[in-house]
Amino acid sequence: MQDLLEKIYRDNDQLAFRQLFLQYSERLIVFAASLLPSREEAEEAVSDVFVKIWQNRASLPAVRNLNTYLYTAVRNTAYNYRTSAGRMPEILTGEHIQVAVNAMAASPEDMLISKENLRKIESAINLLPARCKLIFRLVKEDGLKYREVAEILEVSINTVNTQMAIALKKLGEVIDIRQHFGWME
Amino acid sequence: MEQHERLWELIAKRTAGILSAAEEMELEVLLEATPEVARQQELLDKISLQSTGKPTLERKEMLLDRIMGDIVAAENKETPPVPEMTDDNMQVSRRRWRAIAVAAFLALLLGAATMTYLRTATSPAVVWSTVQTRPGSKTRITLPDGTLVMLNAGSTLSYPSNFAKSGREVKLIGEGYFDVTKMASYPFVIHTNTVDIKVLGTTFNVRAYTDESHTETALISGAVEVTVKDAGKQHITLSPRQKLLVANVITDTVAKPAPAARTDDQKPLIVLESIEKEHTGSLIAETAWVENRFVYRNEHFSQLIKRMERWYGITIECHDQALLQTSFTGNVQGESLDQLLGMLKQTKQFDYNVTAGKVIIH
Repeated sequence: MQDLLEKIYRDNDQLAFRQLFLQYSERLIVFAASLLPSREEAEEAVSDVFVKIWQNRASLPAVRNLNTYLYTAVRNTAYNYRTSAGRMPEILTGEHIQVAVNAMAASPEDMLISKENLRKIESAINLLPARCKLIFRLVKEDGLKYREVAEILEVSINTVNTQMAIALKKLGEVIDIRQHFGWME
Repeated sequence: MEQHERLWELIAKRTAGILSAAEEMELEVLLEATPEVARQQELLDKISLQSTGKPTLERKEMLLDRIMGDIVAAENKETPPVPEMTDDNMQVSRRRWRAIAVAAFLALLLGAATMTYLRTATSPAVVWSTVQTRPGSKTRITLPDGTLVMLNAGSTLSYPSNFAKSGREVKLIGEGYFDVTKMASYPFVIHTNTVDIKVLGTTFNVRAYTDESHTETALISGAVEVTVKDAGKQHITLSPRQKLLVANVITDTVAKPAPAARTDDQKPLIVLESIEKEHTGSLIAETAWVENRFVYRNEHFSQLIKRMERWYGITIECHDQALLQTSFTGNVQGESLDQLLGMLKQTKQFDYNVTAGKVIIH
């Protein structure tokens, strides 16, 4: 990833820039969609961020953590949209973005989760309070570290930990453990 | 109760992988007391999430084109009368902003000629940007003037940092399809090893691979002027649906006299041909690659395998001399290498093995 950045600021390499966009745009658009009321605005915000990244590519060598850099830029842009529209920035439920859940089996002998339980977890995630759902998604889906999430959302690590605890508790509770044991279908 | 809260705090920390050794033991004790929770969390650990509503690759490409368009508009704007985005309708203000950018760009064009001189006199060293495609992959580039270039596999396109102000010059090795933005007083010039191509705004294809015998310029619409770079400096103006082939040996062997070079290639040094449509509809062989179509027409196998190597990003070795001299004609879209080889075999039988990125033909 550092290679890609270097190509962008040192060689003005458009191909590297395109790759960066293709690699990050999905996650960033879904993230922006939690902060903005429509998919279109989410795409617009992420596009704006990438226009600025290219224009300010000379400052890329200073980027320490690409994750926090990109997500924070998207957050700021989304907040600007909302405050300029006279609304308070807040985390939205992102109705147009739903979460689907898959079982991840490390090995065939692994215990598998029943379809029924997967469905229950899925609807429980989508019913989590907006901020809790977003934090859970950033950790579980986007693979961000707690301190990255804390920095991006401007909250304490403690808050991230608490919200994760709430999510894990609620999701755990919907799982019926009698039902799961290895029945694949 | 107190203990329960601690349990969830520790489970959350475990998910983040930030448990200390002491906390790990503490959690173990707590989980032993609540086996059901332990089981549930174990299962929860095994799920992966996938948000719906993610943009498709096509959509992402579209957004990228829009981003590059905005970058170009902003770069051409120079003096920034950036209006504040204050009003309640983002879409409207954004569109208005684009209109201003375009107007500023047009105004800039009028005074551009004098500015160029000043700029080259005062600006620091020009940096060339390079976009390169690997064998097996293609890309799209939007140049600072809005010109769109599709770059075929194994090709390199370079342009200077002062591109828009320095007379729109690019260097090409390999193959590119150009849709050049019209700018009357600003010709667009493509430099290849063998020819220079001067354009005023048009669509055409240039094929200038160094490992091929000829450099080919195929004009789709508009007009281009090709200058052959050898001593003669011959200028040839193409009309739509014409293509010009210039032998690459001219520049490869500058020291050698031309007749000597001619002997190792049967084709004459410069040929003007018309572009023929394929039997099936509007397809033109020269630009078919832009639509991901691999077309070969009466092509020697020796030439064909070089193109296949680039197209699929593989190496092909052929030990069959007779086969190398055989010509093939065909046309495939989205076919795998295996399927293409299967089709070629129907014209002339041969055997081949495929091993890790390499095809060996016996």
